[in-house]
Amino acid sequence: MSTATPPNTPPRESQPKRGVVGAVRDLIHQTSGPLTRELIRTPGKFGLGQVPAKLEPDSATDMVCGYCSTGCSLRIHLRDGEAVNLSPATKYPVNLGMACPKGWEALSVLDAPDRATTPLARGASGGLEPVSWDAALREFCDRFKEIGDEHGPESVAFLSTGQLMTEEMALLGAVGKFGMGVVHADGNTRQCMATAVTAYKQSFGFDAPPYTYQDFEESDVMVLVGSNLCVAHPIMWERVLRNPHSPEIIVVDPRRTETAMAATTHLSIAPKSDLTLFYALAHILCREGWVKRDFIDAHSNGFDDFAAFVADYTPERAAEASGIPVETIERVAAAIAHGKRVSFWWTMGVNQNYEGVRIAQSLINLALMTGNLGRPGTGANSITGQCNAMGSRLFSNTTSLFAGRDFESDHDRAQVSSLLGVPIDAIPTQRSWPYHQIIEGIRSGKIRGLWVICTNTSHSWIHQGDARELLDKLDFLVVQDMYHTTETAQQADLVLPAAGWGEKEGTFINSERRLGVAKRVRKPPGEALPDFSIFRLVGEYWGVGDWINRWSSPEAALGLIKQLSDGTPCDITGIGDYAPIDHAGGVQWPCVEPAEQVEQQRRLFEDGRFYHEDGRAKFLWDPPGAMPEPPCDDYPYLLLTGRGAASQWHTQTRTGKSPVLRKLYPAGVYVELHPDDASKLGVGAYDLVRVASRRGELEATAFLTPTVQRGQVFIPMHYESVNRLTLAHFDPHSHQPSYKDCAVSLTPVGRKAKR
Amino acid sequence: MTAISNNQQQTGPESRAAQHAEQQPGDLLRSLLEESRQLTAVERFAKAHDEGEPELASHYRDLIPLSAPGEGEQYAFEVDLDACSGCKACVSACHHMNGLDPGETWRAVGQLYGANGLPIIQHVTTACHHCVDPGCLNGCPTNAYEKDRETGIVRHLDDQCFGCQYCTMACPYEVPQYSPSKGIVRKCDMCHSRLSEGEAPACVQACPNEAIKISVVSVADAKAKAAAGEFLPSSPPPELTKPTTIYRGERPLPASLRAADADHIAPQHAHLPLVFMLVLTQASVGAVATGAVARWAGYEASAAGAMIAGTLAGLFGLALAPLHLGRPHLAFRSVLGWRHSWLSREAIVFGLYAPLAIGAAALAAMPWLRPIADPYLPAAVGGLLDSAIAFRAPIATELLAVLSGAAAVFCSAKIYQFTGRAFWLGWRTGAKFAGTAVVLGLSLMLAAAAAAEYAAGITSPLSLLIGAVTVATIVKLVYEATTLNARTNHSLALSSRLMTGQLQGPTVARFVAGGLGGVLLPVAVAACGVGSLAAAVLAVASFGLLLVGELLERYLYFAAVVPLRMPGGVKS
Repeated sequence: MSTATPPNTPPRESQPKRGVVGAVRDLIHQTSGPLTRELIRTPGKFGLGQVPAKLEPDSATDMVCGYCSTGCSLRIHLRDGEAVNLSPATKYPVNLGMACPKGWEALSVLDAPDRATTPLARGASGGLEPVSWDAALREFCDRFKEIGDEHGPESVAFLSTGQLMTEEMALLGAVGKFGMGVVHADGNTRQCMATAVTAYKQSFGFDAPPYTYQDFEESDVMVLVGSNLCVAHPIMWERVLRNPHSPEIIVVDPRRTETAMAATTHLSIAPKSDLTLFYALAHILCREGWVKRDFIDAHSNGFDDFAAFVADYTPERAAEASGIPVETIERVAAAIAHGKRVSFWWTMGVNQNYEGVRIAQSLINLALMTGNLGRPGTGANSITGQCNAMGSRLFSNTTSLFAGRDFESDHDRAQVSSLLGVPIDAIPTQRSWPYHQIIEGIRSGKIRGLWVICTNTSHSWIHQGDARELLDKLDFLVVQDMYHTTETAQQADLVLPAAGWGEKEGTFINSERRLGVAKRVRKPPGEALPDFSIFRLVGEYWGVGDWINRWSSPEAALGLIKQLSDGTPCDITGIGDYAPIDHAGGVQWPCVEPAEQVEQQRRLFEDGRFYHEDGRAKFLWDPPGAMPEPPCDDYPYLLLTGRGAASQWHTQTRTGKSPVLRKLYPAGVYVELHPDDASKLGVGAYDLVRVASRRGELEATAFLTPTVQRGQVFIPMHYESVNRLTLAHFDPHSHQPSYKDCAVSLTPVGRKAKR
Repeated sequence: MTAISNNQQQTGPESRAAQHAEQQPGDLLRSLLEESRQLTAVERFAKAHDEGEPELASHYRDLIPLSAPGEGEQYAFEVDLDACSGCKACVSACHHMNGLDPGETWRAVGQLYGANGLPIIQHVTTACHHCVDPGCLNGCPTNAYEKDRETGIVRHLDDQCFGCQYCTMACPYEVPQYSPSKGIVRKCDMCHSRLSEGEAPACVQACPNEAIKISVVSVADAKAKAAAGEFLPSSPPPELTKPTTIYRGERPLPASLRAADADHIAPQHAHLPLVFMLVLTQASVGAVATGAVARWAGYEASAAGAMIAGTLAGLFGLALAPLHLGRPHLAFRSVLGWRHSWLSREAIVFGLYAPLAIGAAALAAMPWLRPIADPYLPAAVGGLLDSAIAFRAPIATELLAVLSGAAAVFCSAKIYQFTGRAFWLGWRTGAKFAGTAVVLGLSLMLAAAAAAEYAAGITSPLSLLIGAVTVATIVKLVYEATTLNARTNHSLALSSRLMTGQLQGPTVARFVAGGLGGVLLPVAVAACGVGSLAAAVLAVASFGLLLVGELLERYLYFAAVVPLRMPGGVKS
C-alpha cells in the first residue's frame, strides 16, 4: 500500500535551515529538531520492520522468555552483542510473533536499582552489609557444615524454584544433595504444579503433560477448569482464538473471568464443587453409554469400579453442590460426548486445591472414558505456571531423583551414580520432605539451616505470618536472588547476588514439554553471578569432589542431563546442544533423534501406551471432601486468590521493577467483592476495608464487581499481604497448598485518603 | 551418611580442604566472574534474516487498509472488543517499538464492569482517537498540533511544543502525556511512518488476538456518530472532539456499564503558577475597575492606591505564568494559536491589559507624582501630560484597561470551560473568576481607603466598601459551598467527595480564610473607628486573608476537578 504521508519525516523537516529566514521560521513553527529526532523510526532489518532509530540493532538473536511456562521466544535486538530492545520472535511455534507485557518488558527489570550486586552478610549492626564472594562462600560452607555437624544431615535444607534454567537446577540438585548431603529439598513448584505432577504420575505412570499447543487450535470442545488463560497465559489464549472450528469453550470457574466472558458456556460453580460436578459428568456419560469402551478396554484399568462409584453422583447432586442447573450439566456432558476432539485443560484452580490431585484425575478420567487422548485437539492437559516448572519437575533432583527416578531405589541410585560419576554413598537414600514439611521441620527444630534460591517464601508461602516467624527461627538462612529487597532476602543472614534471565545461559522446558534456549545478552550488574556459577563455587568451596568438574558449563550440564534422561519417558538424548535446539525452534521431549529432524508439534500417547508397566492408564478417584474452613458467622466470606493481571508475575520481585508494567496493574492490594455484599457491609467503591481471617488481616481497597459471586471475595496473589490470610492446608497426595479457600470477614475502615 | 555431617571424611584431610578452599576456589571465582562479563556469541545460533519485508507482515496484512484515505476520509483505529482480553501487550509493544521514555505509554487499557443478565467484564484498549475536531489541536497556543490532510492523523510537533500542558486538559481522553524531564508533551502518532511504508502500527502488530486494526473511515460518518453520541459506554461525550476510533463487538454492551475507575478519586495536579496567575490577574482587573470607579467618584488617593497595588499584582501574576511552561524560553509562542486557542487569546488580551493598567495607575497617581517629578521633567513633557489630562486620558485609559481586563478574564474562563470538565463548565468557572475579581478588587480598595484615612485623613465611604466586600464574599462563599454537596452529576459528586474527603484541609482553610477575611475583619474595621491605625491594619489583613482564601479556592479548582477520561483500570 502507499499513502500520501511520506516516510518517517516530512521532507521539509529534513531540509537544512536557510539563514535568518529559516531561523525565524523555526522560532514560529519548528517542525524538526532534537526532540523530534528522538522518536524517529528506521527500518530495523532482521525481519523486524521499523525500530526506534536510537535503538537500531546491529544483530539479533532469539531466546525463550523467563516468566511463565508458555515459553515464548523473544527476538533480542543487539548492539555489540548486548541487548538494547526486544520484540517477540515471529517464527517460533509457540508464540508466532506475539508476547504478553511481561515478555515485552523482560529487559527493563534487569536495570532495577535494587539488584543485588555483591554478596551481603548480616553484620554486627543487624543490617545486611556487602562482603566479598570469598568471604560469603566461606561463611556459607562454614555455617551449614557447623549446623550439619551439630544437628545431623537432615538439618540443612534448600528450596529451589521453577524459574532457573534446567542446567542450573540440575547442578543445584547435584551439589546440594550429592555434595552437601542435603536430604530435604523442594521447590516453589510445590506451590503451583505438584498436583499435576502427582496426578499424571498416578494416572499415566509418569509426569507427562501430553499435549502440544497446536491442540488449542484443533479441539472442537475445550473444557478449561480453574484457568483464566486470558490473564494467566495470554499467548495460549491467542492459540485458542486461532481455532478455526468454532469450538465450544466451557469454562469452569467461580469467578466470571475474562476467559469465562469469552466462553460459550461458563459454569460459575460454587468453590470446591468441582469433583462432584466432574463425577456427575462421568455419571451422565456412563448412563447414556457415551463412553469409548474399546479405548477404555485397550488402554486403561479401573473403569468399571469408577463407573460404579459415579453411579451415586447424579446431575441433581452436582446441581445441588455446584449451583449449576441440571440441564446445563446435561448439556455440557453431551457436548463432551459428541465432540470429536475434546480437550480438558486445568491450571491453578485445580492445582492449588486440597483435593486437587483427584480433581485433575477426574478430568483425566473424563478424557480416558471418552477416548480423548493421543489425538490432535484432545488431552487432559495441565497448563504449567513457571517458565521452567517442567524442568524442575524432571531434573531438579529435589524430591525425586533425576529424571523421575526414586531416591529409595537402589537401581536408580546406582544408575545416577555411574552416569554422573558421583560416589553412590553420596546419594541420599530417602525421599525429601515436601515444602510444607520442611517449613514444619523448622518449627520442630529439625531444620536449622535453609538455602532459598530464586523464590520468595516470605511473600508466597501460605499462612505467611507463620512462615516468616519460622524463617526467623533458623540458625542460618541464605537467599540467592537477583534482588536484595525480596521479603525473604530481607530476613536472610546471607544474600548471594544472582544474574537474571538475559544474563546467563541455559534451557527452559515449557508447558508442552518444549526445550528452548536462553542466552547471555546483558552483563550482570556488579559481581552478580549466574546461578550456575554460584552452584559451582559452592561445590568448589564445599569440596564436594572431583565429579563436579563434569559440570563445567551449562552446555556441559545439558550433556549430563541428556544422559540422565536416557531410557526415561523424557528421553532427550537426541537433541544435541544449544545450537540445534535453537535452529529447530525449540524441541519437545521425548527426542531421541536430532532436534532438527523431529516434528515441531508432537503429543504423547498417540499409540495409546501409557507409562505404567502394563502400558495402561489408571482411573483414580475419591469422594469429595468438605473445605476445612468454610465461611461461618464470624468469617462469613470465602477468600479466593489468583492471578491479577497479565502484567503481574507472582510476588512481583521482577514485574514490580518495570515502570510500564506498574502502570498496567493496580498499585496496591485490592479486594473484589460483589456489590450486594458491599451494600450489606456499607462499603462503597474504593473504600478501604479490613479483611481478616483467623490468622491475620490486611487493609485493601474495595473494588465492587458482579464478576465475583455473593459471599466470595477475590484478592490477587501478587500483593505481599494476601498470604497473611490464607489457611495452611494441603492436598494429601501432592502436598500442594490450597490457596483458594479460607474464611474471612470484611469490615469497612471508612473512607480514607488514598493517593 | 552424608556430606553435611561428615564433610571431612568425604573431602579428605583438613589440610587438603584448606588448600582447596584457598587456591582453587579463588581461581575459579576469578574465572567465573570474568566469564560472567562475556556475552553469548550469537553467531552460533540461527540468524535472523537481515533483509526483505518484516516477518510479521503476513500477520498484519489484513489489519491495515489496502489504500490511503480518499477525499473526506481518514485513518482510524478499529477495536474488536470481543477479542480484547486485557493482556495489554499493545501498551508495552507501543512503548518498545517506539522507543518511549521509561514509564511513558501512549496506549492504555481500561475496563468496563456491569451486568446484562450475566456479569460483564470488558477490557477496552485505547489510544489517541485522532479526532475530527481535536481538543488538543484547538487548545494548543503554539500550533504544535497538526491534523494530517491526507491521513487525518493528529500529529504533535515535539520541537514546537513549549510545555504548557493545556492539551492534557483540552483532550477529553487524557491522550497527550507531559514529560517533566523533556518539558513537552508527546502522544500517539498512529505510527504514521510505519503506515506509510505498509507496516502496521505497533499496537496492531502486537495484539495476540488481532483486536486492533486500522480502518479508513468517512469523516462525515464520524461526525454523525459523534452527534448521535455513539462511542463507548462510560466515556466522554463524543461530540466534544468527534473521535474516530470505532469500538465494535458482537457482545452487547449495555449503556449502564461503568468504568472500573468511575468511582475512583484522586486530587489532580494543582498547577500552582496558574493558581497564582489567575487569582492575581483577576484581583488586578477588579482593583483597577474599582479604583477607576472610586476615582470618578472623587476618592482619588485611595483609588490611586488600589490601582497601583492592583496593577503590580497583575504584573506579578503575569510574570509567574511562564513558570508553568516546560520550556519557558519559548513563552513568546503562546500567542501563535490565536485563531483557535483561548490560551493564545488570553495571552494577547492580557498583553493589552498590562500597559493599559500601568497607564491608568500612573495617571491616577499623577497628582502626587507631578510635584515630585516636575523639577526634573522637560517642560514639553509636563505640557503633554497636562493636555492628556485635559483630554480625559485617564478615563479613557481606565475604560480601556477595564474592558481589556474583563476580556482577558473572560478568555481565562473560556480556557477551562473549553475542556468540558463538569467542575469547570459555564458559571462554575465564570462565577469564580469574576467573583475573585469583585471580591479582591473591593477588598483592595477597602485596604487602600482605610490606609489613606489613617495616613492622610482622607475620608472615603468606608462603610459602603465594607458592606460591598462582605456581601460579595458571602455570595461567593455560599455559591462555592453549594458545590460541596453535589449529587446530580456523578463527576461533580466526585469533586464534592474530594473536597470533603482527601482535600478537606484546604477546603476548610478556604472557607475560614474567606469568612475571616471577607466578613469578620471588615466588620472589625467598621468597629475600630474611622481613621484608626487598627482599622487600617485590619483592612490590609482582611485583603491578605481574602487573597489566601481565593488562592485556596483556585487550588481546589484545579485539585478537585475530575478530568474527562476513557474507562481506566482498577486503581488502588
